Amino acid sequence: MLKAILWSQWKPTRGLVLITSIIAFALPVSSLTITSTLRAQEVTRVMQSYGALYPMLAALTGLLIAMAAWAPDHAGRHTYALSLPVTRSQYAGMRFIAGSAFIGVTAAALLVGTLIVAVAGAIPDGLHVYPVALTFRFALAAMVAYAIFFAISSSTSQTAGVILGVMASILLAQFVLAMMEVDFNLIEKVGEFLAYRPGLFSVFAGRWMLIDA
Amino acid sequence: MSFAIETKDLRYTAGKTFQVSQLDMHVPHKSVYGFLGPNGSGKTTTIRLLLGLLKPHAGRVTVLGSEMPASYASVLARTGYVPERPHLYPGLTVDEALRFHGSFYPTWDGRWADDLVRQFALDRQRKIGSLSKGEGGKLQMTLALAQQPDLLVLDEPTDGLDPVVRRDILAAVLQYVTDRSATVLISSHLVHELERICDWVGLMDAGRLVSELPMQDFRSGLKRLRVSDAPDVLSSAPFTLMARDRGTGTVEQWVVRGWTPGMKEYFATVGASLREVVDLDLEEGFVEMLRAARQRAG
Amino acid sequence: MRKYVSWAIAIALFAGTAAGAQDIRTQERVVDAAQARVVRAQARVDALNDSIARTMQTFDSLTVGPLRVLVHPRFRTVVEAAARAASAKLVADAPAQVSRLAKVRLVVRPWSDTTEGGLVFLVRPGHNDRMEAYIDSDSATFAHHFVAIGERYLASTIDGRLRMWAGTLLLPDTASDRVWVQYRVDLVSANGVVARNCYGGDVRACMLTLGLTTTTDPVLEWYDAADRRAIIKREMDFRPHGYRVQSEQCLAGDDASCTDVLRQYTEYHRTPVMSDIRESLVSVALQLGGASAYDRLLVASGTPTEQLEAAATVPIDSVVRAWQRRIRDTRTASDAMSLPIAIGSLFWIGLCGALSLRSTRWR
Repeated sequence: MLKAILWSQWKPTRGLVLITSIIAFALPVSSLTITSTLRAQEVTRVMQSYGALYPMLAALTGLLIAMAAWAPDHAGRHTYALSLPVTRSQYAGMRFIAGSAFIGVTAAALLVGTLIVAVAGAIPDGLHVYPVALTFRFALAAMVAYAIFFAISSSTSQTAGVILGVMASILLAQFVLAMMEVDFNLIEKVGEFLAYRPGLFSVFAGRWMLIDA
Repeated sequence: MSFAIETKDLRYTAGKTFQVSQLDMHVPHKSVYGFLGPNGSGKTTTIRLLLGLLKPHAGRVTVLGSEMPASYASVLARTGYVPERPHLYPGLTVDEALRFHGSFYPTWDGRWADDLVRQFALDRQRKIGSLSKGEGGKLQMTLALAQQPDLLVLDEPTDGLDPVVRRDILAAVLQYVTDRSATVLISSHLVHELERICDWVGLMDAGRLVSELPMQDFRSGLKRLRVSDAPDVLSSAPFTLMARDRGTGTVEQWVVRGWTPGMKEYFATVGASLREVVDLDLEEGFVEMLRAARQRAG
Repeated sequence: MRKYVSWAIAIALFAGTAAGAQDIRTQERVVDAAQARVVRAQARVDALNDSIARTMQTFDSLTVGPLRVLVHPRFRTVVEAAARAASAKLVADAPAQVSRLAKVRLVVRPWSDTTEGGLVFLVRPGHNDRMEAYIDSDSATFAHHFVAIGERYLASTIDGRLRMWAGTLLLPDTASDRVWVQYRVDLVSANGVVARNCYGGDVRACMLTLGLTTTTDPVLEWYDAADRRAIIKREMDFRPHGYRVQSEQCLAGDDASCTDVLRQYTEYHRTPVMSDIRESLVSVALQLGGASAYDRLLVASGTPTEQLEAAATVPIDSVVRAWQRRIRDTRTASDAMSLPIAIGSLFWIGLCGALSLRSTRWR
């Protein structure tokens, strides 16, 4: 069953996986071509600018693969999936596992690219390459994005409405606080919680440095 | 008699106006049950309730001896379902769909699936999304049959298909029923189509099961009578009077159910004269039953 | 004619003298007024000090190790405990020199009659400077402030040449690992080849980098041709109109032009790396010198090199080599990945995954 679901999910997802894998491979390799003649200070500067691209790619990969996971079922209003002799949780679980495997493909492409940098790159004295750490973080970030959007995609429109309602409530609460001249930034607090440990998006924040001191 | 499908006081509300209410349905084991009703009468909704695709608001549903929707996984493992609208993944080819579907059913018969594919002349390498309506219907039937279900649920399987395809599909169903002694629930608004294959019929209208009876009784016991000088109130009639059209003259037209030839003597006892007994075909009987049901409800 | 000119000159001289005399008197009045204000201000300070002194006569006097504390009776118990803890720490850091703290007086009085917190300030006889802090009145907080005040007082007695060289307060505690990481990053990513060579192991380069030996021409001694060109290229982005022609010649490969332009950017002549890295060298010297290293630092004199050698009891070359080793051994844990990030991410993945398993059938 899992093999069947893997294959049925691979078909609509393979194009996306190919594109994200190419980008994931190209990012570190292209940073290498730029930094090969630079000194330590400039190398760290280049790595910092590239560092913004990895979490973006991770988020995009997770989002696209999650949406592709449920797209065929959404099109048929889930009738086929619901008429199969598996429990809903089993079915959702198999879909989740299948998508996770595809993220692994993109992460593997990134690992290959970073290992090329580690082996072939002329790293200035005092700096170090972190291919495995960066790839592992990329995989985790992509999985977090995938899990979030997979959960949203698997829910009903009512649940999506609830999520939007919560977000709107936060905005409304902030507006009310502002009208009452209460000096409390709710949106900032929520953002801090989400962005910093142990927030939902903390894996995306911070430095993503392939080469660092 | 044991039932493959049984519902008791089943209720469901969809949207603001449509209701399935007080549905007591009985589909005997190994029967071919024709589920008749006009468009929008609730046949598809009822089928979805039976298969656990919708959650009833009240009542009980038992399918193949198990409560639904609680035991949906085990029941669906023994149930082949062909929905009204196609629901397969359009990106898969016919071949991939067969392998995908077959992986979920331990009883899957790959060889028979191949035979059906050949019989239906399906191109295995074609994507589902590019199949015609008829080809899609055939594929759905192949998938449902090849899993060798104990219960086959077909929701308007021939709707919109040309006569040749309809004939092929129904032939496959009949073949399966003959070979496997399975139970079949087939819904349609094409009455004449079901006449050939069903041995039970349930009539649905406006969310209610209006009537449920063996096809033989439906076919033979339903008559139109031309009667004159009948009293306004009938007492102890041996048949069920479904409709009474007084017309403009002295001769009335009655539609009755449960007629047998020996009932002619009744009219003399009430001072009426039986002028003519006319056979109704299934479609006419279906229409009359619907009309009678609506009059009673109205 | 000559007579009229003479009279004019005489009148002008007389008027000028009168005016000057008037100006002098005005200035004298201004000076007198200012002096009077100073006297009045001093009188107010004296009155305040007298008032404080009278108030403090009602305070309890504590002597705990090197610390002498005047404390309002309300805080006596917690301050006594705090003074013991602080005294132990200060004695451990500078056993021989800690007795200097006896010259100062720590005063703890209530902030006000209504608040719970206390005001701690340091008084040095003969000085008007004070260090004040308002703090909550618990023993740990008082102890922390006693230690801080004591350390800062002792550090302020270190020879001025070393303090000026370091550019920071030299406390006995060594720099944290996080700070060493930053120093290492600064060194490897410095603008100049001298710093990078220092990282590479060149002791002489380190002496230059750390400012222990004087530099006659930083533009040539700290930077090589590639460095100079890179700096000019970067500066062209920020100062597009400064030294445009010469900068372009520099980028075309003329090192003389690079040198000339870089001589104008004086901010590149101060230090090869941020001067607070020097604190880390002091830290290494204290470690090499053992238990009484800080004591020796407090009484050392001479050049920064001589003072560091006195504290470490080894030649400066050895101190620098030890420092180099420490810098190279410091490696940042990669920001790219850490255990908390991994655990947090796995938690959220698991939570969202579990939520998705609850995907409902009812659609």
